[in-house]
Amino acid sequence: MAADRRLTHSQILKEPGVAIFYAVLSVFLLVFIVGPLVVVFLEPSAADWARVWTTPRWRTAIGNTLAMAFRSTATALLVGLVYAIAIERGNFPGKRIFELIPLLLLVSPPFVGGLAFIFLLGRSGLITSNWLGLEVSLYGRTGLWIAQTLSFFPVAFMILRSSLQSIGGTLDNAARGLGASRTRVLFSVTVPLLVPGMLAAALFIGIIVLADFANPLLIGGRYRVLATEVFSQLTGWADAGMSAALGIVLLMPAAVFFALQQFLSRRSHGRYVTVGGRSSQLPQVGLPAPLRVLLFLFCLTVAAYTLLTFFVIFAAAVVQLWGIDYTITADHVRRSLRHWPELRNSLVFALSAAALCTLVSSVSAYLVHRCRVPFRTGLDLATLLPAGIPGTLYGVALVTSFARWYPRLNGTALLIILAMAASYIPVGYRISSAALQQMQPSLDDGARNLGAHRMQVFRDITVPLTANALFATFAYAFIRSIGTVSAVVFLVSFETMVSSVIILNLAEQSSWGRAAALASMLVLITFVGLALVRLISGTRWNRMFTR
Amino acid sequence: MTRLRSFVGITLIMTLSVVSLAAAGRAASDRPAAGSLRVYAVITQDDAELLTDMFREETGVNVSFIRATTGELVNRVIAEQDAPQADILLGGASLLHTSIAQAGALESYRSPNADGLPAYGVDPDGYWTGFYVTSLGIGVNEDRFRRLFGDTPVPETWDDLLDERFAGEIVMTDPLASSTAYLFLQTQLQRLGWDAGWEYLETLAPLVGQFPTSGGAPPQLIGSGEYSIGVAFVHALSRYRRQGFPLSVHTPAQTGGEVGAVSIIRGGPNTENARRFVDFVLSVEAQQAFVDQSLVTPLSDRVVLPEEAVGIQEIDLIDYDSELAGRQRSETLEQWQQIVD
Repeated sequence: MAADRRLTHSQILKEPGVAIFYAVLSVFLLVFIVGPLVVVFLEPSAADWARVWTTPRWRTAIGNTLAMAFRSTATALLVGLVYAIAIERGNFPGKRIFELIPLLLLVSPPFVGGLAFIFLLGRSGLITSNWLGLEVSLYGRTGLWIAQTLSFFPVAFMILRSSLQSIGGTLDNAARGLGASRTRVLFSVTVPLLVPGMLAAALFIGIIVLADFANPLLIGGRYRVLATEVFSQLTGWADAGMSAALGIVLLMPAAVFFALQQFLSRRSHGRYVTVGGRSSQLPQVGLPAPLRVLLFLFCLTVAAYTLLTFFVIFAAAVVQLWGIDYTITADHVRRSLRHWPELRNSLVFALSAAALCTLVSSVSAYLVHRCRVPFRTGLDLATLLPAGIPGTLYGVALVTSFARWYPRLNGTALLIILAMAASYIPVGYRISSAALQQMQPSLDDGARNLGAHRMQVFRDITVPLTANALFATFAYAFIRSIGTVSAVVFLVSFETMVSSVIILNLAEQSSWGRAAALASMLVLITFVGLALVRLISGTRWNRMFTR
Repeated sequence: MTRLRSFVGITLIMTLSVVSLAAAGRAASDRPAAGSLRVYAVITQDDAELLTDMFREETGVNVSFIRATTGELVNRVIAEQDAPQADILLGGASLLHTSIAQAGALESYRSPNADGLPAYGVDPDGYWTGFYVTSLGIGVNEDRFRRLFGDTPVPETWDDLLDERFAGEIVMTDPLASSTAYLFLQTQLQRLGWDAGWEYLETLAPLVGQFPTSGGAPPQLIGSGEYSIGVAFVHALSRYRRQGFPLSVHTPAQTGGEVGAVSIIRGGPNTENARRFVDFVLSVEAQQAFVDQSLVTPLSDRVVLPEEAVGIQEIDLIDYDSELAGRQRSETLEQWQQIVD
């Protein structure tokens, strides 16, 4: 007999644990997420709005932002798709190494790709200038396109790979039995089955590209996009109204993508359970040999570039000036050591933000999906809200609300940790929700019938059974937080400076050696942190983010 | 085993959350310790490190700094007026210090070490004191220039820049983000007059390959051969030349320059140390070390001019009206945004 899981207002009082969590969570979301956003929406004046549409600079930036979002999403999706097919169906040697390559990119701080791009493909880059002897400038549209494709294809890879795994071999084999060629099976069975996954991946990447800040700043050249304009309006011109207006414009397409995403995931909910699963024991149909060779070469190229990315970051840290003077020096590394306090801040804040994010997102998921508390839809939306919000806009929102009303919060760790955590709560929430939905509610009911309180159920059943989801959330929030620039750049101060902002500073001054040295240290710290999470959780690397 | 792991993990997460929130809450109520000093630095990371390291060694005061663009720090100083985070604004055009003073965010102080500075280097009301002069110049990467343009003479005057062949090869800073670039706009507008000045800028803008946000970027970008021609401060260009980059540095006639100033933020946590810092920055030893490293033009005649630096007598400055430049700021930048997309 299933117990009624609905919790009425009177019942909630009998469950003090739930009531307290519910109250704390609601206040948290209202004060730190909904509140600042309302404030930032009220910031621009009518004149600011008029200027957004009449100034050529911003009209161009809006056009560029949209065009780049579509362009980069399309190519990132394509690269991710081909890579996923290669790994899952290519059946060539070295798969175990190749499958780690996108993961490596996924977990490195956001400016690593941009810096490496300058060192490898810049005007005096290793590949473009030294190896190919080209006199080209990729800064601007082309460069940004390439860099974003390389930065974000891993997201497509992760999503499409798990779709591929769930498709199973039954349909493939049926098509083969009906006389389809191996190539035909790929294009008329496998790829069409991937369409829902591709759509989901495209929306996910689209939102990330819109908000991407590091790549346009480092290699955008004259190609302006909104994410960086939001920043320069506030830093260059002290124009909070204009900055907020541009941020809200940037929010619109992101909100549309986000709404579509929600719509699709609601609609497809439940279908994944019936389609495929891992029940099929039939081996998947392989690909024809020439195609496999091509796929192998493709993976090899991507892998080579990725490994070069990390190589140049480390190498640029120990030579005088990359591209010009390759004398070995310890100077940059030695001088980066004085940034130890900033590195420590990055680590501490990112760990705290990850913990906060994990806590908020899992509690919220539990309350929404298992407790039927009042205003569930509101809670659901408020938790998911930051997903569509570009980091720079959230930064502006915190500056225009808290920092203004309560100046003593200015530059404190609290605002920085909040800014970091809030941005990644939606991903955590999705991970936890998915894990909860995979769990039979009858387990809860059984325990409840045996007399357990809801909080006991949460502690003894839900948390242990969804532990992997919690670790995944923690790891994701940690790696994103430690590298973020956009959300925190307005919030840092003397005691709370973080290394990613220093790296941005050094890169802006074109102090490449020092920027690379500090970036290398941050990359190492990130990897060590991840290794620890892996050790504690016992999750395998390639499983950590596939949920 | 799994249970143990998840138990350890969950406990860690919970502990971290509590600890972090507690720490963050405590930090929120912290005031900076007495006996320290906090500096907002507009000068480069290297130069700020030099001066703060020297000051720390000399006085034992625990000094820390944040380096950012002029615009961002000016915003911060004005925005933080009710609860100032920093004590000193180090560097940046005197004009900007004046505008912050008008907003009421600066403290007046006349350092004894300011005696003997020329009149234009000291604020009559004492809100800021100049400690260097910078002027705009043209840098050319000789290697790249020769490879691309053969025997074409290198641009040495402002008008030489308007050659169409240079399209995409010129780099200058974004006037919206950098005061250096705003100085360049105003120099052209004041040198040629408003209308002819805009004609000049409209011809030049399409030739520029990139507008980075930091004034320090163009010298490195031409030094490393990413572009062949750059508009930047002369001292910044000279620094790369000294490091052995194939750069030639040109100081055009009728150029613009500005006095770099230091000022004390009103109501900062350590105003007493701030005064000591201003005295220190204006001292001969600090000035000499700063000029030797940064190659800026010294304001004080007690400093020995390094070989690579340019003395004040060697610069042909226009009669720059900084007050006019301040008044026209919004209008100029607005119009600039109309011609550059």
